[in-house]
This record gives sequence, C-alpha cells and structure tokens, in this order.
Amino acid sequence: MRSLRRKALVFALSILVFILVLSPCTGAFAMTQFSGHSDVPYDTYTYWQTDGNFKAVYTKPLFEVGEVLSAHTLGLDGFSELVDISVSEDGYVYILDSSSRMIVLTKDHKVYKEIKTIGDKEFKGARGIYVVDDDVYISDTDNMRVLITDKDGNFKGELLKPDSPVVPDDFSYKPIKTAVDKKGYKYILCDGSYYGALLYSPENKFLSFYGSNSVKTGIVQFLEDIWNRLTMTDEKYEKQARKFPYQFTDLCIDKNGFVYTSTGKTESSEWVQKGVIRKLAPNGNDIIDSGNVVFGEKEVPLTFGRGFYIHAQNMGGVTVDDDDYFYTFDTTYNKIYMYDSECNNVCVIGGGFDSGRQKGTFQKINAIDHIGDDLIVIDGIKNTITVFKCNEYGKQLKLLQNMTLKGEYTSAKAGWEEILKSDRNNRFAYLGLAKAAYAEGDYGKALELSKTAYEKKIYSEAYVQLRKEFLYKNIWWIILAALAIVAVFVILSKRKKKRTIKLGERVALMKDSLGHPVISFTKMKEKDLASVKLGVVILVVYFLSVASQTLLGSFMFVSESVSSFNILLLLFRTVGLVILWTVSNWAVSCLMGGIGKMKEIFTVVCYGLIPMIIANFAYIILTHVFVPDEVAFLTTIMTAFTIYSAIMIVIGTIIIHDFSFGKFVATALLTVFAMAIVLFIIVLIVVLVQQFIAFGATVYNEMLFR
Amino acid sequence: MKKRISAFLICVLLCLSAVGCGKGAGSAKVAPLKFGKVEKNNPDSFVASENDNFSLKWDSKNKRVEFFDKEKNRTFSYLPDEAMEVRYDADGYEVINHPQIISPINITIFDKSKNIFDKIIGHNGSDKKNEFSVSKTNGGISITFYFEKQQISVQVDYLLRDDSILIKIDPKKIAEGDKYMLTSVSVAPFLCSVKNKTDDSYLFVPSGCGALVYADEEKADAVDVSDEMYGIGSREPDDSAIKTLTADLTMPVFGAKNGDKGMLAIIEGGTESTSLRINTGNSNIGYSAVYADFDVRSHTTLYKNEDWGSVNKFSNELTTNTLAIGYYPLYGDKADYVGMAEKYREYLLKNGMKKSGEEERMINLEILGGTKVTESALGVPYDTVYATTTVKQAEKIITEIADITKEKPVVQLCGFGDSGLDIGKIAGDLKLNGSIGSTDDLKNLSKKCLDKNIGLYFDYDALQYKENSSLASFKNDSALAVNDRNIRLKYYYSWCGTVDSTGKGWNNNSNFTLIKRSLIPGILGKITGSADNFGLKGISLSTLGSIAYSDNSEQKYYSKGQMPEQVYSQIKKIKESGKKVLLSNANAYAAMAADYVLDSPSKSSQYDFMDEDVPFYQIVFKGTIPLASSPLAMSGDVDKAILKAVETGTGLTFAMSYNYTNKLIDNADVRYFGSDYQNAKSLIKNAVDEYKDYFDAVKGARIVDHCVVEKNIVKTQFDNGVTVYVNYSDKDYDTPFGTVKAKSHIYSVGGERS
Repeated sequence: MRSLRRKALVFALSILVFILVLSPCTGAFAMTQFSGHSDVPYDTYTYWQTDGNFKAVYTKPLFEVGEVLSAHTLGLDGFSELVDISVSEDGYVYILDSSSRMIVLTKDHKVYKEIKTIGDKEFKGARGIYVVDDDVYISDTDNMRVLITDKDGNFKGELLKPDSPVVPDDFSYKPIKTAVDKKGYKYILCDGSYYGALLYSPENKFLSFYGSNSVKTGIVQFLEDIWNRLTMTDEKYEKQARKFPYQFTDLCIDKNGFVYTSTGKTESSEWVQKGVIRKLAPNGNDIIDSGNVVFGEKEVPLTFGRGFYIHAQNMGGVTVDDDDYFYTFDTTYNKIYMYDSECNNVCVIGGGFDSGRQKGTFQKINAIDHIGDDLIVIDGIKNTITVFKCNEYGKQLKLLQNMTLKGEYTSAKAGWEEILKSDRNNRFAYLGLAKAAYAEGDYGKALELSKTAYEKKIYSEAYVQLRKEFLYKNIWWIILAALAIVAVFVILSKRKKKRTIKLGERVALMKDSLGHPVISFTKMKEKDLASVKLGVVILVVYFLSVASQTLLGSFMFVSESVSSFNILLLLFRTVGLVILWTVSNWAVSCLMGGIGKMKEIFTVVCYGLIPMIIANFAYIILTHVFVPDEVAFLTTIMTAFTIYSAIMIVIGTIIIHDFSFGKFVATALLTVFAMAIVLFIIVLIVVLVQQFIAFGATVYNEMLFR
Repeated sequence: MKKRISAFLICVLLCLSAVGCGKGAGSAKVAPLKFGKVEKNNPDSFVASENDNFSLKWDSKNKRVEFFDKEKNRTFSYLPDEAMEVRYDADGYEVINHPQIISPINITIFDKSKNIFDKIIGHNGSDKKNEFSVSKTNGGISITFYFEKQQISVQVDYLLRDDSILIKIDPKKIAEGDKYMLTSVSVAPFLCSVKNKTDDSYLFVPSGCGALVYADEEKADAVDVSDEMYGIGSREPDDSAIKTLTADLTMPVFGAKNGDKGMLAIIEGGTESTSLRINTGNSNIGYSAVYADFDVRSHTTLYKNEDWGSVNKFSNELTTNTLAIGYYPLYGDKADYVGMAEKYREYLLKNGMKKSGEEERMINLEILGGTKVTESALGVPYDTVYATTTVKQAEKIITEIADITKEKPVVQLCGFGDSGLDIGKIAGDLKLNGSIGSTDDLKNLSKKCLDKNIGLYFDYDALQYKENSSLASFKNDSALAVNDRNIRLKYYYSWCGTVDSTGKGWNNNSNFTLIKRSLIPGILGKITGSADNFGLKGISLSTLGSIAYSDNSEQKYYSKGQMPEQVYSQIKKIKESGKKVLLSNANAYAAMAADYVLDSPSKSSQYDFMDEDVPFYQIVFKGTIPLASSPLAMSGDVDKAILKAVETGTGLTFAMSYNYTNKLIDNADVRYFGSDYQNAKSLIKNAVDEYKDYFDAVKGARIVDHCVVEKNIVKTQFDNGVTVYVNYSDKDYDTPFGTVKAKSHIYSVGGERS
C-alpha cells in the first residue's frame, strides 16, 4: 500500500514537473532601438485580433510629420493656449487661441488673418471653433454663447441658452464644441452636460437634446439599486449619488450628415474604453454599434512603471475624413488612432505621454482635424500645430480598404498584393486578398489567407464552399465508405456475440456503467469494485480531451491561441475540480450520514465523465466537418452528453451514499459550499504567503537602499 | 553530535565570509579626496603659455582665463565674446552679465540626507567669492574652484595647443566633504554659445546624424535638456522617458557658429561619461549654449514598487576617467557644420582612424535568420526558433541579387545564432541554429562569397544575453549595477509605455543582462575563433559598436568608463587577426575602427528645439569608413529614404527574410514587416537601374561641402568633383546642371551634368 502511494506521489510529481518545465516560457524579445528604421520618432502600429486576444503589431508608417508650426514660425505673438482647430472646405485652417484670438492660415500654412474680436465681442476662454461654408462658429464657453461670424470676423449672430421647457432651469450653458451639418442644423456640446448635444434648426431655433450617452448598468448595479431601495428611506435614496452618463468631449459631422461623437471614458473603472466613439443617425441612434468596440489601446492592463499603476485612456476628440476614416486622440498618452468605417483600427501614431518633446509627439493634444488625407493636430501645452502628411502608401491603403468595404474585391486584389509586399503585417491586405480569392472561387486560397489573418467568417464561408465541392465530387465514395463502416460494425457485433472478450471485473463495470448506471454503481458498492486506478486513467483522458478541444479543434471553433493556452488553469478546471468535489463531498457526506467511501466518490465522478470524454472527442472531429453557423447541432450534442454525465454522477452518488434524492440535493449544495470554503482557504494562504514574501522583499530593498 | 553540527555550521559561515571578502579582490576602489581648507589665490595677470597661434593668459581683474588668437587678433574666453566687454543699457547703466554665462564651471551635487539634487553655478558658488586658487602649470593654468558651503573642490586645467585649447578635469583631484556628493561637472558652459535671435548662427549637436539648433526664438520657459553621450547604457530607463524613439548622441563633438566665427568642441577624454546639455532660447540669459556635463559617478535610480517612490544611488567612488575637452576656433567658411565635421575627421585620423579595407558598396543586405515563436507539442506550448531564412536560402538570395544587379553586396547575417534574433546565450553560443542550417552550409556560403568578393558578415551579440552557457553565466558573469547587484534590463515597447502590451515584460524570464566588461576581450576572442570555424572573414558586432555601459565591478568602468578605448582596441585586435568588422549604428569610437558601418544614423532625435538635421556623421566618415543606410523598406516613403542616402552617397540597405508565418506579427524586431524578399528584390533592381551610375561616381569619395539651397533642396559636393542636388519637394528645381525633377536628383562630375 505504501509503495502504491509512493508510486502515485512520484507519478503526480512527475506530471507537475513535466508541466512546469514545458509550460510557456515567455521569451524576451530582442527589441533594439533601431532609431533609423522609422521616419518618425514613434512606432506606428495597429492591432490584430488573433485567437482570443489582441496583438499590437508594427506596421509601415502611413503618415510622416510634415510641418510643426508655432507662433514663432508663423511670426505671431506667443499663444496662450491653442484649444481648437477647424479646416474649411477650401483648405484654410482656423485656429482658436484661448486668449480671444482666431488665427486663419492659408492652404500653404501662412498667416492669412488674425482676429481678436467678433464685432466688438471678445471671446476669451472660448473652447471650440467650427467652420462651415462662409460661417465660423466660436463656442464662447466662458461667455455662455456661440458666436457666429464670417471669415473676416464680422458678427453675424449668436446662440444663447434656449428658453425651452426641455432645458432644465439649472442647465449650465457653457458651449465647448459646435458642429453644423449641410442642412444647417447646429449641434452644440456644453461643458458638464450629460443630456447630449443641443440641437438647433437652420433658423437657429432650439429643437431638442440629441444623442446622449447612456448609463451602463450591470447585474451588480441592478442588485445594488434594489438593495438600496429596500434598505433606504426615500429621503436618503434621493440624496445618494446618482450615476449620470458621461458627457461628449467632441463631435464632428461627416459628408453624409452623420454625427460622430467622442466620449472621454465610458467607464472609469474599466482599463479599456468601449464605445467611446459613436456615429449617430438623425434619430440619435449609434449606427456603427460601437458599444462593444474597444477604442484606443485594445489590451490595456496599463501596467506602467514598476508598480501596477493604471493610466486609463481618455478620448478627447474625433474627426472624420471624406473617405469615412475617422481619427480620435487620447489625451492620456497623446496618441492618435485611425479607424475605417467599420471601426477597424488602421494605425496608431503620435505619442509622448506627458513629455512629448519631439516633432510628432505631444504633451496635450487639444484638437484634431483633417485636410484631405492629412491630419492637423494642436497641442495646448507646446502650443504647436502639427501636420501629419499621409504618404503614398497610406493613400493607397485607404483607397484599397474602401474598395474592399464596398465589395470591389477583385479590383483591389493587385493593390493589396503590392501592399503586402511592403508590409507583411498588414491584416487588411490578407483580408482583402482572401475576399478576392473567395470572389474568384479560389476557396483554398481564401481559406489560407483568412487563416493567416485570423478571420473566421471568411474562413468558414470558404470552408463551406470547399466542403460542398468535396461532397459533390466524392458523394459516391462517401456513401460506399459509410456502408462499409456499417457492414464492419454489423460483422463485428455478430462476432462479439459469439466470442465475448473477457474483461476484468472492474473494467467491465466501468463499461457497463455507461449504459446501466444504476445496476453498475449498485454492484460497485456491494462488491467493493470501485477502482481509483481506472478513475485516474479516465480523469487523465478527460483532461486530455478538454485540452485537445482547444489545440486540435478546427480554427473556426477555437477561441484560444497556443500562446495564451494555460495548461495549469485547465488542470485546475478539470482534475482540480474533481479532486475538490471528491474531498468536499466525502467530508459533507460523513456528517450527513453518507456511507460512501472517498474512493467510491472519486470513481463515480470519474466514470461519470465518460460521456463528456466521448462528447469532447466527437466535438473535435465534428469541428472539422461543420462551420460555426451550424453550431447548434454541436451544442445540442455537447449539452446532451453533459446532462448524461451529470445524471450518472447523481445516480452514482445517491447509490454509494445510500441517500434519498432530497438528501443528495442537500449534500450537493453543502458540497459546493464546502468547495468554496476550501478555495477561500487556499486563496487566503496564497495571499498570506505573497504578503510575507513582499514584506521580506521590502525589508531587503530597504536594506539595500540604506 | 551537536558539537559536530555546530563546528560544521561555523566552518560553512567562515567559508561564506571568506568568499564575500574575496569578491573585491584585484579591483581595489579608491575613495575621493577629503575636502580640506579653502585656499584663495588670485595672482596678478600673467601669460601662462604661448605658441605661434595662441596665447593663454590669466586675467586677474576679471578673474578669468583668456585665450588670444594671434592671427585673428581676437581674445576670447569661456563667456560669449560680447559679454567680455563692458556694456551699458539705454539708461546708461552697466549691463550685468547673467551669472550662468560668465561661470567657468557648474557643478551638480546630491544631498545624501535629503535625496535631492542641486545645481551650483560656479560664478555664484566659488568665483564671485574669490574662493579659487590659480597656479601656472607646464603649458597652461590650473585653477581649483572651492565650493565651501558644499565642501567640494574641483581642479580645472587649461592647456594651450597648436590649434586648440584643452580643458581637463582629473577626478583624482576632486575633493568632497561628508554631506554632499559631486555628481557632475560642466566646464566653460558658454564657450560654445550663440546670442539669441541672431542671424547666421546656430548650435550644433551630434544627435544621430547631427542637428542644428537655431537660437531664433526666445522665451522665459526655454529649453534646457540633457542627453547622455552614447545612450543610457546599462541603466533601466525612466518609464516616462521611453515612449518614443530617439537617436543616441553618436559623436563626442558639439559646436556653435556665430556668423564667420565658429567653435568646435571635441570631447577627447571621458567622452563616455558625459551628457550634453542644451540651453536654448532663454530670455533671462540671452544666449543659447551647448556644453558637456561630466558624470563623475555611476548613477542609477532604483524604483520601489510598493510606494511608487525612487531612490537615487551613486557609486561611493569617483570615476577614474579624466575629462578633456578640446576647443577649436574656426573662421570663415570653415566655421559651419561642414568645417566642424572636417576638423573632427582630421582629429579622428590623427587618433587612429584609418581608411577601411572594405570598399563602399551600393547594395547592402541584412538577412534575418530566425526568431523565437511559440509552438505547441501535445498541447504544451514551447518556444522554438523559426527559420525566416535558412543558410541555403540566404545563398540563393545573395546569388540572385548579385546576378540581377551585377553588384557585389555586403551581407549581414542577423539572427543566425542559437536563439535567432532574440537575446539568448551570449554570442548566440557561437553556434548556427540547427533549424537555420548546418556549419557546412555556412562554410560553403562563406567560400562562395569570398570567391565572388561579396562581403559576408555573421552577426554576434557580444554584450547582451539572458541564458547560461559555457561562455558566460547569467548570474556570475553579468555586469554590476551601482548597488552591486547584477544588471537586469528589459526592452520597452512604445505602445502605452508598458513594458510589453501582453504583460510578458513583467516576467523575470524576459530580463536580460550585459556581460561583465572585463570579459568582453575573452568573448571577442572566442567569436573570432568561431568565425574561423565557419570559414568567415567578416564579423558583425552590431551591439558592440552601439552600446556603451557601466560596470561597477571595477572602478575604471564606472560611468561607462573606458568603453571607447576598450571597444576600439578590441576591434583593432580582431582586425589584426585578419578579419573584417562590420558594425551597426556605430558610435564614433567604434566606427573609426570598423571596416563597414550599416544603419548609419540618418536623422536626429527630432526634438522640438532641433531645427534641421545635417549629415555630420556622413561628412566625418564617408570616404574613410564605408557607410550604409538603415533598411529602406521600413520607411513610409521608400523613394524619399533612397534620396536621403543619395544626398550623402551612403549605400542602400535592404532587410530581407525568405519565409513568413503570421506568428511573426507581434515579433519585437520591427524589421520583419518590411523584409519580404521578393519586394526587396524588386526595390533593389529599381534602385540599381536608377542610381548605379551615381553611386559608382561617389564611391570612396569624401563629402567636402553640404548645404540646404532652399527648403527641400540640398546640395552636396564630394572631393572627387561630383556635385549632387537632391530635390525632396513636389516641384521641379533649376540647378546649374539643369532641372532636377521633383523627388529626384541630379549630379555632375567636374561641372559636367551626368
């Protein structure tokens, strides 16, 4: 017995060592600062969505830093703080300085005019400027108005706080941004307003609020709200802090009249920002359904510095060009993010965090606009106007992606091939070529390219076509093969009846438990036939079957990549849970008068896993036959087998403990509770050990620093 | 039994103590001198030294050292010429110079008890109080400046030479008290300065290829920045400073041009321990200046996780390097950056730079061998090297390129060692990775290249490693940081300023280290042996030429001490063994010893205050050491990148790899995205068709003049009579040789258009 235990211990340790040794070694990257490799003082990159996660990927620069203008280079007196910028259709650049100054630059960025008053009105503290046709709108924040002027600074009118029952009395009318669509409707954002934009008619009549953000509520908030309602007095409930929607930080209007809005953050507690850019239809609905799209950095456990310090991103503005590409900037890291009309990230440029001292980097981006394909960005601390020029490569990429989005796959094919030569990391090119190959009926190529791009949708579409072709060509062979298999089964089953293979009693019981769980588990209890060895074998096979689902399943179904696959977690989720259940159930059952032994509980649970093992392997095979759209069938199979497993475990547990069903339910619930306690204790020990180590490290560090 | 155990434990303890005692054996460290009493000595004015060109004089009244240029009849000192004269403002009051511009020395000190730094302007701290002692020395003047309050004294020696003045500081003559530590010293901060808002004047800083700073703007919150010479070495960078890409200061020179007068400063000793400070556009001072700040101690900032705090840690002892800066007055058309570059080239030629044995090549290839990717075996992930180009594929590439272009390229084999392009065992364990090829394959390739006069260089990382090998142990052979712990470094990614977007950087496995400085010669010796085994004539040492770092295991290596001397002598030694040495993005001390330099810097750090990039690096080295550009396909505008190389006649470089997998998408080596071989092949063919004649014409020629004719139009003249105009603009431009089309070039040989 002792030798058996020792063997088991050695075996367990061997497995553990094997797993630890071969678990993912996160290799360091030999990233050398090849400063000469880049035209710009920052890395241009984008994100690929691979299996289960996002990866930041270097990409060829689409923009170069064209000009960096300052008051000095423009021959002007120093700026106070550049706050906003707007480019007219004829390419003139209107820049707003917070000290009641509007500077107009010509197309070649020479000073055309400097305006300090509109009529006799100063606009010190104004935070927004917008040019449309011949009118300039200045959001005169501190003076609580929007000034309307012509290009020469002649006063044309103003928009004041509307006198409307829709607008609350305590509404603070401090305009920060204004936008005007082609029909003359005006949208005004006010500082601190969570109602959305104020919408004015072409005749400058206030109509309503437009497109506010909504408060995100999860189950926790819902339960908290109910609890508060139950426990608080009405007075107290009214007084408690309410959660309001976040205000917009910027808005702009595209050539089709859709309004793009940016919101600083949607949820301060989240590390990544979802849905911070919205494209609103006239009725205020978000038509790009961006609620679940992560804008900015896709993977932001913003582990910064040597501690785990988080700098949440904060989207400060948005602009959209005539090709429907939109650009937003983050005021935390001072980066600019470019997206296509389907919210796919094209590239990330800029940077500098709060110390951007180089051309093309920033200390505080205040606004962004575009001039054709180029971008123009102002920095409120450096007081610079930076022009990012889109290079030929960038223009070509934009053109091809638009062609692909419009369905002109084959026309874009040659272009994508060229792009791919220049940048092998270009996911748009792989997707464009995959779609072109699909359109041309080259499904094999489409399959290969879409797999390279980690694109499951096109892959499955191409797969369906290839499957169809295969079935069409080989239908008779398949039928013949099926008949042959059936024939072999029939023959084998007849022979089996004649000559029963002698199996060991325990193995036979395990086999029988699948079809006759009641009889088998009763027999096991009566004759003491529970087998830990067999149980371990089944458990190992179960673990392998679950691991194989991830590693051998079809590309279309697998949601985890090899690199992110965590074998230790899986081990806990499978083997760990079985052991935890076994121990907890044994402990609880002992108290509840159960007569089952620990090895019996373990055996029952392991035998109960057999249907799931079968289902898992079937799943692996079937994922290579079906596509995700046909997944309902697979899910049904998996669910059925899982339920059968559960039934086996329930029956087995009732029998070995000699429980009634009611008592089983009670012990099961207590078992789950016991499992939670065991887990809690384990976590507690781990945390204590961690803290003890951290304390030791602190003492050690302090000693070194002294 | 108890007695035996006790005796055993005592023995073990004694042994351990003995081991600890032996750690510093053989590397005795010398503590700085103790601050004594202040000696005030301001003798009457005297001429200390004189030669045919200059005289060196002590001016007792103004309390300053003065230099007299006999030919130009000009007296100058460490303050701007204009500030030497007595001036009066509009109301008739005498203009009092700002203390900073008349200060002969500035020091930075560290208050040990408060963990804070303080900068002391020499004029206020010593000069004005007459707390200095002047003496005449052999060939010059020696002044000891006393900072009594801080209990620090520094001796500065001024020496006269035929064409320049040398200012020296020997750390052995620095004395300190107990409360403050001296951390850095700057001498003659405004000797290279220009008056703000003056025409035809600028500062020159050696950032990357070189940059000019025009002092044409003046404001109160002016720029005062500092950059370390040759990069930050073995220190972990401050997180907030590593979000963007910067170019290192590759050459120990700086200068100022004031109309027809110029001043070039060459840091001739202790270069590696200096930082360049640039103070520009300050309206309070009225002048802009560039000067060297000499770090006399090794320093690091230790960050504490628990309270987000930091502690500054300095070596107790001072560096042993002597700081020496030579100031070279320049006049007329030699007063600009081209004149400065020529002077610096002369200096390098006098000090060991020799014409390379390798000839300049138009086409240069960086072939990427392999890199680590994660694979899975039976569901267990593991890292393995993926061969992006095998040796046989490299041979195919080289043969094809040579056939297509009829050129004989220089080829750098990168990442062909044990761990590919990733940091692994030191020098790739001197092995060829099995998945990339066999030793016989490499020998064959080497032989073919030798036969065809193709320069083949196998790249070894002789400094960085993270795994134990028979050559170096990760724990015992790594250089030491200031706190006597092994140096551990991480590479930083620019997105979001995180160590690594996937959090991998936090894993200790990703730490790498640098080899102990004293072991470098041994490693290089083994690399030479390994190259012999592979039948290679060329060795590429990309990291050796571009990384300078401190190793606090020996005092002479403090503050990056003696890195230039060490690297220079070791490269020479390798060359003496019959090998050729290729470097990447090399610092000046390494470039001057190399046979070939790839990735030569073509731009500066592009700081906001830098107005213009100039090809100073290329002017210095081209024609003596063959240079090649960075890989061109990485650029957003390849045509422009080629024109940039044309501007200076620098060879064209193409990174390439043969195989691709989408597992490379998040590879940290930025070259992978633009390294498609087929693309590179077509780029090379086009470049050869268009530029071969030009590159042949400027092969081996030196640059003798370079100027910006107008915005986006640049003219370069070579010593063999070739003149080229490069037009980066969108419009055609008329030159004396004809019209140069937009985004194109035109050149002439001896005035005749080609």
